[in-house]
Amino acid sequence: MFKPISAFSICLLLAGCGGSSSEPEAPVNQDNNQVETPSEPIEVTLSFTDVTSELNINVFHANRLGSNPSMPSMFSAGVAAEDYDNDGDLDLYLIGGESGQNKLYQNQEDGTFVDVASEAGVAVSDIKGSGPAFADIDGDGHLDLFIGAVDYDDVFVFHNNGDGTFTDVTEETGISFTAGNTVSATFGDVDADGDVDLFVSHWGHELYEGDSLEIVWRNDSTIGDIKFVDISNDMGLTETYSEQIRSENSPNAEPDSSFVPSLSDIDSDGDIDLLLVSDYGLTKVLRNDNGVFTHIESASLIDEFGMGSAVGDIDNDGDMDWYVTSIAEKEYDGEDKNPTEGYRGNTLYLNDGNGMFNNVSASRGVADGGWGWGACMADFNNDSLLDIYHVNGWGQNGQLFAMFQDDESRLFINNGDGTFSDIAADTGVNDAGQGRGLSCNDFDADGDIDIVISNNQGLAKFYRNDLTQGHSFLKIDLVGTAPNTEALGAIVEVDVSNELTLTQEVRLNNNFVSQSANELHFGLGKHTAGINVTVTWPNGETTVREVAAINQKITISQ
Amino acid sequence: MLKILIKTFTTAALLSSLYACNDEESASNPIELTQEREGHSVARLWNEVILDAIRNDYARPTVHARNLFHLSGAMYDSWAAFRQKETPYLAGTENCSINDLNIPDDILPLQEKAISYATYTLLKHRFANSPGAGFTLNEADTLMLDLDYDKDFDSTDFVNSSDTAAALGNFIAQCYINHGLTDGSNEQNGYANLHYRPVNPNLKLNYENAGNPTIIDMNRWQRIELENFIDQAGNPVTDIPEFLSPEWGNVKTFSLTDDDKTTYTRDGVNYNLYHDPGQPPLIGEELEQEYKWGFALVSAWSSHLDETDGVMWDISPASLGNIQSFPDDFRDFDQFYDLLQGGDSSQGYQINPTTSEPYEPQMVPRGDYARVLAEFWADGPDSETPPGHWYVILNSVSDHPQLEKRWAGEGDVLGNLEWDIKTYFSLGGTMHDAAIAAWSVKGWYDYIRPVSAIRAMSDLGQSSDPNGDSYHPQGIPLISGLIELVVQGDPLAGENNEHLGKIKVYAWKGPAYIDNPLLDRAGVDWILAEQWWPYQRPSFVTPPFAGYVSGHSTFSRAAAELMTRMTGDAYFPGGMSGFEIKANDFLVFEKGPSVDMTLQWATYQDASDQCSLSRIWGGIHPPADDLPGRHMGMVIGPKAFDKANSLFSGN
Repeated sequence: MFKPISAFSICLLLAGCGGSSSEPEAPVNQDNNQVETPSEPIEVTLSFTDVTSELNINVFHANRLGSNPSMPSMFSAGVAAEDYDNDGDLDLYLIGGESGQNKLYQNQEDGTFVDVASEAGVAVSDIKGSGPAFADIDGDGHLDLFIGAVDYDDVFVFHNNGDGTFTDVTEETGISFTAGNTVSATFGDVDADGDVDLFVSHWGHELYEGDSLEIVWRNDSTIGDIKFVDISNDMGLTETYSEQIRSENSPNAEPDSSFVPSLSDIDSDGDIDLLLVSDYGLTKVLRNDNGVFTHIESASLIDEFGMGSAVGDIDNDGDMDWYVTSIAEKEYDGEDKNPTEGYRGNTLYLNDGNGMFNNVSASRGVADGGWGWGACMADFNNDSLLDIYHVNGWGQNGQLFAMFQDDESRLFINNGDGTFSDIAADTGVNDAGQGRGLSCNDFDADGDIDIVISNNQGLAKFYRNDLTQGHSFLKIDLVGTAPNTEALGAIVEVDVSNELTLTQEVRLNNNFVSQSANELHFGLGKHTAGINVTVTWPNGETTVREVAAINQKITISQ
Repeated sequence: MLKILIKTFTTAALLSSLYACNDEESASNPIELTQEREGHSVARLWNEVILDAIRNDYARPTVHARNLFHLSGAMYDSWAAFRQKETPYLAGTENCSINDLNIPDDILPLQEKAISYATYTLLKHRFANSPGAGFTLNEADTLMLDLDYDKDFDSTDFVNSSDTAAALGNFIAQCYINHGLTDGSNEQNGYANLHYRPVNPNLKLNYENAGNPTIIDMNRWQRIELENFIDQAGNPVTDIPEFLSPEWGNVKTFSLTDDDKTTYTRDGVNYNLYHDPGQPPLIGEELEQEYKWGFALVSAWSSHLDETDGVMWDISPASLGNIQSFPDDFRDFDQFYDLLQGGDSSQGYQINPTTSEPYEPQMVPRGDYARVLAEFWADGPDSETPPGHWYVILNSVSDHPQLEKRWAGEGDVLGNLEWDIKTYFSLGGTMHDAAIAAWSVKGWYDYIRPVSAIRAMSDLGQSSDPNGDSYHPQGIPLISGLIELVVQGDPLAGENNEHLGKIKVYAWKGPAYIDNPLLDRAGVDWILAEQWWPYQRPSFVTPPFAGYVSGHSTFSRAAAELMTRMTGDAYFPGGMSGFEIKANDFLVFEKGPSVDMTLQWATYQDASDQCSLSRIWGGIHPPADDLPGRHMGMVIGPKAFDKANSLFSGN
């Protein structure tokens, strides 16, 4: 299926730097126009090391499953990554579950972590938490924290006080769900009023006449006073879900089975569209047409059990593509019929530039990921091509789907020709836990993307990326205008040596029950010069910046 | 997580303050700082891990009473092995000799280490197949790491090993593991039943199914099958649990002896019963009226689960508790339980003996109180089960600043470790015996549960008026305002009068009326009796074992007797203990309670008595299950205390 060595050892030609190391603080080449001359091949090797214990990260997620576990207690968990204390590095919030305690690991500015959850006031315990998400909700420049929950457990909204502590303001926010499961959450400015609105998914939400979907919540906050109003109906969701509303004539209508709300401007018209990944073939593409979502139905939307979601320009053609994890057919040693017979697995949808998606997964090598959950798109080897990583696993001994319980995570490396190769085992990141959520970010600020996994009924894992030198990168932090201080919704285009353009949206990627930090990371491959950045801010204004120094993080303010 | 490492002080200033009383000896040997000397009990640290392990396992009261006993026993043996006075329980017996143990002068560091290894090793063995095994192992590993012990040290050779205490702990754990494979529990086969078979076909329940059409013997237990059942979170529930531990009377006891035992034979299989209370009221036999009265009372008390009915109760010790006596004869039970209003023959107390002040009344809606009790004492799924609940209560008593840790209220104040070791061991032995006794009775009498009985009697009709409609001598008795017949014009009669002549009950309406348990409450109203549900989780309904006798009543009364003896005081420290309940936060079956309240108990027995009553409001036990269980606990607790005390005295 994949080349055992060369698939993850990228041979390339480097010159000028002669293969010597590139320090982030000491740019390799400050001459934008200098053309590098090849001298000798440098092998760039991707590998990961499990440093969970080394970093003293100890979160064992556990819900009390007993003899009759609910499905949400088996699919929930979560992690969120962000710089909550504005010290320039990425911190971690991990869900401990019903038997544990959530932890806030503060990055000590050197890639080591200390749990400060108790001091910070976010040491939630005995809760089946799910899908934490950081965002500057009230526009005060500090990232607040939303935490969902399953099986009717308590959800939380914590206001970041700016001094390292949080205050539980849930009761005052106006957020109240009748839905029993709030699985994943994200934020984006759907109504273009300058602040970021809340989007959540509610798997298992039975709908009756008059019920709201409770998916889209308008931000009505002022600084220090977080407020939300449910506008799901105003956004057209009641209409969209009309066939899923139970009545005497349709007593068995499918509940809202949404798992992940992904936000992206899929049709490049300047507003946020909603990709609502849902179980049981109910995934919905909801295009934002003047403030109301239009349900775009398409025969090419074929995911049978949409679970995890990742969005990005995976073919570097300037529009946003979409990867949805699902369940793949798997060998079964029972005597009856294989319950997974015919399951197609993950789906990769390529955007045609107008917001229509074409399913190409079968031919690209990304379909079989076992029982997939959270997924991220990131350039793990800095070769300027987005790769896909996703976690997976389901079932226990004695259960029907126990054959998925030891599923190993997949790392689908982008081969550059439209195909992908799973090199998770070769690179040491084939985690066999019951993976649910993940954050894909450069936690140790060494220029490559690390992976943090939240396992259900298992230890959270920190896989450090040990990519060898040889590829360049550029990280970009945007500072937007308050209240959207994170500039969510901005588009960043990185023109690389006039050869290719890398495009990323500024977005809170929520993967499935989890969030990657909003830190833009561009792998530049062999390129070291001729880098130009264009930022299109949420209000349409643009900023163009020549990048003098690569292999570092630059900040661009609106 | 507590992170205190064992370390040796080196500075002169600290040395001088830490020298032992024997100056000569200590001048050259600084005392090793340990958990106990830092103010922490290593037994308590491990007990918390054990309770968490149980919460993450299947809800099996018998299995966990035995686990708690054996784990507490392994802790006690690891501690007592180094002591001159106390006799260990298993250690030192034939297959578990510790004769060659080398005992140094400063034994505390070794005791703590042996306790930790014994508990760690036994815990890993007992919870290896638990659904929470990974979580439990991680908790145990983390505690070993925090205590600075090498979790991979697995030698049991405490004579030759470089680490005597660790090896001794492992050795003692192995003694308990070996013992557990021969104690009659069938642990090696997942505690599976060897012979028991239910005589009744399953009671199939979902929101549409009505009555109990399949029952054959209305005196015997019936499995519950949730048919095509979707729980509130939208999950299919397919579990049909077996009777848990009907043969537990075969398990080796702590203090129960052959004198306490009666053996019966059914289908060629022997059933050992301890403290046999005799047969419960049976339909078709002499006590048929008592049978019908008892199950009708469960339905009647279900009507109390409505906080809007205007009934207010003082739930403080000023009004509740201080029960002086219980009837022995089933025919007198109606003098003890209030059929219509609920509650028992509580007298309350004039004065708190610790403060010499009266107890302050606490008025709350009865409907809130009854629902809170039903859930507080449920100890079902996700809980530490009833035996574990009494460890939680013991820990809260041990933490109370007004408790003086004198054994039986006499002698010197004990250190935290010795207090915990002795109380855990005694409580473990007591809970284990209570489980054996109660389940020995459950397995033999195989008595029916209310959800089966109420539906089955109602299917037959009413037994109050031979000349009235729907009469059947074994039907449910009518109680005006609570149990009546559906008559012409009744809203429950149905569109085509298909329910005319059926039994209706004024009762908690059941889980079909709860869409979202955070926001909805079922409330109380007239419902068809064929749709009666106990006040429980819809995915649980009723514990998977026979009702007679109540495990809660047996465990709780035995524990209360033990607590009274261990502390030398019938009262909780300070004359009262309590548990804070927050409005609209505490209940999980449905929304509520509507007010804040504190569950309060003056004495351990008051807590026990309240626990017993809670099972009736919870709809899973009639009075006939309750009082015989309390009587058994009254005997089991003191006897277990005497047995433990005798070991502590070196006998």
